Amino acid sequence: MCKQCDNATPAPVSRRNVLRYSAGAMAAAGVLATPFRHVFAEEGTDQVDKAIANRGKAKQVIVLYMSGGASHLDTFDPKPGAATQGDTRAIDTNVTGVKIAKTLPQIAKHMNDIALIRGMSSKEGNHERARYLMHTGYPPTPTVVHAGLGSIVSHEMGVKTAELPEYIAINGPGARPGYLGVHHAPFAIQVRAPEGGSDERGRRQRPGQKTGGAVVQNLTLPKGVTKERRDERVGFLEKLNQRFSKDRTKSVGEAQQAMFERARRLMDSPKNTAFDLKSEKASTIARYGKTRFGMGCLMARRLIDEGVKCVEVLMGGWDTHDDGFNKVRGLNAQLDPAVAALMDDLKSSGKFDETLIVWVGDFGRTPRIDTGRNGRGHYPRAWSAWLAGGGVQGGRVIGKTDAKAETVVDGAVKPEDFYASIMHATGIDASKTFYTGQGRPIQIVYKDGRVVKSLFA
Amino acid sequence: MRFILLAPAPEIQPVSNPTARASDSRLSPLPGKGLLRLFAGAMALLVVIAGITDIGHAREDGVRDVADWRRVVAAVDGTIEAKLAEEGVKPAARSGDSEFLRRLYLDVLGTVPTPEEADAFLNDKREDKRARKIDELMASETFAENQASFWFRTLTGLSVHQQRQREGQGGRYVTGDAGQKFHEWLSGQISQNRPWSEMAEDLISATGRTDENGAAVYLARWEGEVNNTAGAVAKHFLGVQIQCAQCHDHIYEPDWKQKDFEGMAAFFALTSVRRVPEYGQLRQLRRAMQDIQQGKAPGTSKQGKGLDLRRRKGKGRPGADMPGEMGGEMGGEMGGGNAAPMTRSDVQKKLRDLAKYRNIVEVRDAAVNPRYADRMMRRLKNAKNEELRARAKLMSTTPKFWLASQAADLPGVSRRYLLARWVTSNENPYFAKSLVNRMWGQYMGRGIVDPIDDFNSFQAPSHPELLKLLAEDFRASGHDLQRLQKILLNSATYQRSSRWSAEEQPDPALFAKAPVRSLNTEQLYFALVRATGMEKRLDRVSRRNGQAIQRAIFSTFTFVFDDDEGKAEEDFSGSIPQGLFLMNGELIQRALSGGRDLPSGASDRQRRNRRNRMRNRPAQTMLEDLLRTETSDSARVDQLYVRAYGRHADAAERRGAVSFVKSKGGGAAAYEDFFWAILNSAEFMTNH
Repeated sequence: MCKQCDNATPAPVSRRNVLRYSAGAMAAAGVLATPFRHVFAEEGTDQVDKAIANRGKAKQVIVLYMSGGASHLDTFDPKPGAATQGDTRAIDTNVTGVKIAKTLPQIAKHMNDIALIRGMSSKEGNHERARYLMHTGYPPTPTVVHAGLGSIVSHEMGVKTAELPEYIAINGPGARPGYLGVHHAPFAIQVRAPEGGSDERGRRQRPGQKTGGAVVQNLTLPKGVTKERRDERVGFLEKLNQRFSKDRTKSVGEAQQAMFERARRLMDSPKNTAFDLKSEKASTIARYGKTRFGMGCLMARRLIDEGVKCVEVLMGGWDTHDDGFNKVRGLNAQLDPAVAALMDDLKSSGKFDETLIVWVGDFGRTPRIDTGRNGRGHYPRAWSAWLAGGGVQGGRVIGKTDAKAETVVDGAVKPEDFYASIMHATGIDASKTFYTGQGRPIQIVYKDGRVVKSLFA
Repeated sequence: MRFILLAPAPEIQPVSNPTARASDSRLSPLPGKGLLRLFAGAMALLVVIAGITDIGHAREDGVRDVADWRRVVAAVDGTIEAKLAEEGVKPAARSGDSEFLRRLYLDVLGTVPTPEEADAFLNDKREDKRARKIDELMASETFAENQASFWFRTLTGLSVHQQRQREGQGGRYVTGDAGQKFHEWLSGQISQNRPWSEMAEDLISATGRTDENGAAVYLARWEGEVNNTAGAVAKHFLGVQIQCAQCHDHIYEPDWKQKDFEGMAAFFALTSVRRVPEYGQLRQLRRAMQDIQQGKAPGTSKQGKGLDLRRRKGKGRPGADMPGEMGGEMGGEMGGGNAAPMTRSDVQKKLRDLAKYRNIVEVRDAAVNPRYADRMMRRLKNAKNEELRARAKLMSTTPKFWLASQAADLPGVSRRYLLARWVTSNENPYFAKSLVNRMWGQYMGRGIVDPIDDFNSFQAPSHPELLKLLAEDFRASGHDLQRLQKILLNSATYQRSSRWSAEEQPDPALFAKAPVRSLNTEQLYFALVRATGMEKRLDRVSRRNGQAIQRAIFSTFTFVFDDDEGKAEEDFSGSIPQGLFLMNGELIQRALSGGRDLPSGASDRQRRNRRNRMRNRPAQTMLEDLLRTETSDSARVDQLYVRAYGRHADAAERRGAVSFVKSKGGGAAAYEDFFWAILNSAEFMTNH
């Protein structure tokens, strides 16, 4: 298996290919497959380590995605006293010896629940490529579209009869489902800040603008169409399809009816009131912060309560090339209460231990300060991310950067390791191989990925 | 396999090339140094040419004997039928006229026939009406546009209508103006039936700005990243996955070594993709806007070179109006500090003017422009970054096409141009085969080699002799795309019915029946707007207000329906947003509206008034119009069948439909429900 071509497993092992190959080709394939036997032998063993504790504890996943790339120095890996630190000050957390940015005081009090990875190290310094990498665990390649984390979770852990979509992306497009198909595509919704609140870039939600709830496209029936009419439409449609499929393949009609069935289930589900934040108390909203990201986190908690398997909340604004210190201070002020409230609520509902929280972004920021612009550039070589809940051991710091936060000096975690660890937490078999529509085999996690043991044991 | 380098000397630059821009910049524009380089290049060429015994290009060979296309069609069908007979499978019957017509429209024009077109064809009694129709459709402008969309999607992996920026690999550089330009370029090439070899050459060797040279968008898509570009070119033009050899020797092809990939990648090492200068100005203006918002003078935070942030003296308008004009130079000319700084509205206006340059880039080639080469070398020389170091190494690697017997690099000549000549050479076993295979897959639902772009010794072609036959004819015809498509569309294989009565579906690799494929996003959109009659209204709107509205509607539609490349053709899978869109979306609802029924309890006078009012108001939708002009339920139902399916309803269908409509009161709402079901049915949503 190779990152670039995802193609080192001989193709004939797929069902598709088995059907496709004639007997002669199959025989040839059998012969030719011999030199690659090690590929099969490795499968399922090299990156799935069942001996590590807490495998499969996480039943649901929340991804907090920091779009633009959060400065590690100004959030979770401060270097007090270093020339590269700039204006940001550090504070102690409730874990002895671990300091984070002073502007994250509430998260500091939750540090004992967070496994902080300070040794993240990747190779993509371009936003779009990095976003792809951190959403899928694979760098982009022209050959194939990889499945995003949410789609993998939806596919592996989702319930076919679920009323709500199993992968919901808040305030961002989420990642493409790739080879897993549209059935596992993110269901994208927009959540606005409450009145008087603001988004990540400080734009105020003006009075009179719609506030609070989520914008879910096309969730309600058009004017004049009753539920009965809708069902009669679908009923007649089924009759038409039966006639069409009589002497043709049945799969199209069936798949299409399944699509309408799922859409109808969502429309009719009492659970879809989760999209409406009106019932939340003002005090709750205040705890999360009157911000777009705060409301995104509150929405995520509501959706997790309803059983959605993966919710991704996007937080923008982290591309802080200019005026970086002020901007990060503002962003931290939004991030801090939202994360703390989310963790508190998950704890009080008893869901924390079964819900994996993933905090990650595009990359870190250059330790060297761009003095002309008073900000930091893109920096994938050394940066921070963290996991919490879902069987992850909190109060740990994994990996270490040097005094300037420039290089990982110990415990580097590559994106594929990060992904292997997430799969460990959820119990998904990271070595499971899928076949794209074109018949190419792809493993859920790139084979070099290893579970980071210290996250769990 | 012996490979011959074809002379890329300046005098044989393709003069027939209509995109002069693409060709002239392949050679060094500098007179002094450039001539020297050219001279060196010519010398090197002589050495190479001395060994040439056979010249590859058909178009330089002059026209070869080209068989009558009908004989090729017969040979194609003969090969398919021989295999069927061998396997003991009886193929499906010939498609009916309406089945054929709808399929042809969807494949060739990307939409369904209008009821008038359908009826005219069904009533046509001429023997050769199918062949005539194929010619007619292939001659239309819509054919070129539809083909352009197909190639756009194939070459970029994105839809031309996808206005949303997608992840990675320069996806943003194919949106907006650049995307339009690329689409125009493609459709221009197709409408003049430019040989595929020449198109490929232009695409592989393009340079310049993406808002000027549409062909350059292809390379911009990969952002100049060497390995991805090399992989993409091999996949698109040769149908092979050479990038598998990037990290290890190729698994299926023992002859493809890792160093072969390096040789291939080296062709792209001198190519870079850079933002245009206007983008720098745009960023400066954004910063200036931040300054203004914070109450500072624009340019306080950083005054970069290249843009004057003062109002132009005496003229009262902002400086550096012309895109590309260097405001900095003008600033010097104006001198003095007495010009007022730009105001918020000045900056806003200029930001709006420059916004379109956000995703415009320039594809540069350091081989033909030493200025770029020096700059690249400087940047790379002391690079610590692994990727940049690898790039620097590739720059000094001699490129070599892995199937060629010798390496070649000519100073002053674009490496990509050399590659293009190799790729399109007649000696290349993959170029013609991969193209005919792609086209075959496009019309027959499955490649002769499948997956379509993964030729290797593992993937045996289902019909090797067919592949050879088509490839040879394609080469002999001078890579004539239209001739190839005409052959495929006229074949009995293409024109088979999609019906299959046996329980077990036949092996798709036998091509025993036509496939049932779900419509792609573009087909679905155009079929929907045509069947609902929205097309005419949208055309009216477009004539009045330009394309913007139509594009915006299409863009929302694409947002919901576009899915990932690489899904198998026969698979239909709908997402929840798609289901919601089709059930509740405004677009569908508006298009469906049958107008309002008269209230049942109303008095005669009310009804009369209402009827008069309605009569004076033009019908808002096709359905409303139909309900006003046609009174028989049976005829109404039949017309809707023709609109959506391109065929008339049979007696049983009419009975079923009429009884459904009647059971719901027979009014506008009943017809809306009926038509909704028709438009969402498998028969409408598939190409069959």
